[in-house]
Amino acid sequence: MSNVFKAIADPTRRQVLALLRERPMSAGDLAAAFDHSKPTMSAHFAVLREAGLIDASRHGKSIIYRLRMSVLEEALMGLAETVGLDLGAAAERKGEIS
Amino acid sequence: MTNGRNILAMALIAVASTEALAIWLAFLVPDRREVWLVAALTMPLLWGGAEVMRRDKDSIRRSVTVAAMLVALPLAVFVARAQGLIGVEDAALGVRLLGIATGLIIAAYGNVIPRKLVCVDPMSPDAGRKQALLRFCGWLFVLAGLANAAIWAMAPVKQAAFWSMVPLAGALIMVAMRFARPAARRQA
Repeated sequence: MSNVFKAIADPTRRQVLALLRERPMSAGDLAAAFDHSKPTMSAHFAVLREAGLIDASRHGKSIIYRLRMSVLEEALMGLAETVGLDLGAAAERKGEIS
Repeated sequence: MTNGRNILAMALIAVASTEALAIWLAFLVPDRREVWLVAALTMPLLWGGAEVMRRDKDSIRRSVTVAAMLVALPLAVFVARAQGLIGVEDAALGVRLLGIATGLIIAAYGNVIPRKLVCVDPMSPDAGRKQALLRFCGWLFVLAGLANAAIWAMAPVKQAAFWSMVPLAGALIMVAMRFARPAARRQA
């Protein structure tokens, strides 16, 4: 469960999940929807896969991601979105201060 | 592997608890000993048969855990009543607890419906629609299960038996309507 909290704590990862909620998408299409580099997006995908929130399958040269969230996980994500949870930004600010 | 061992441990604990309660009742209420001993033997026999016949062991063991808990609940109430911990006027307590447990189990099963991706081929053009359908069903059954449990927890038992079915029936009707909708549109 701690992996799930870590996964949904980041707004970029929540946006990835929101996109996958519409339909399965390839890794390339998902990465194109964000301003981050491909290695950064790959890291986000890895966190989401580790948390079991997305499922990856290879089709030819593409990796297709599908949403794999339970109702409870989706509710937690909605709550995180509502309160504007961003632990990544908080960690960055802590780094600037210390 | 660790997860598989955890599931096996849970199933063993649940079934062992049910066995212990059934055997205890066989001593506490000896005039119905055959009933309790049949209850004690049935679950391990069914589990053993399922383990032999099916390959998906984790799924069987999860189901056995839930089934054992459902059987253990009324057995525990019988034991408590036989030991004088529950009065005769609390006769409906077992029914109420079973109703709450059933509602929570429905909610738990609804919770994992959206994760059943086996029916969503990602390359299919209507993968998004199927995924949305799974999510819709999941949410409906979670809410219906929780409502069912809440009604059993709060309403008088005789009324709860009827009214607890209302959210479940509503969920089934809404799922059927959602399934029927694309077919109706295609025919139009």
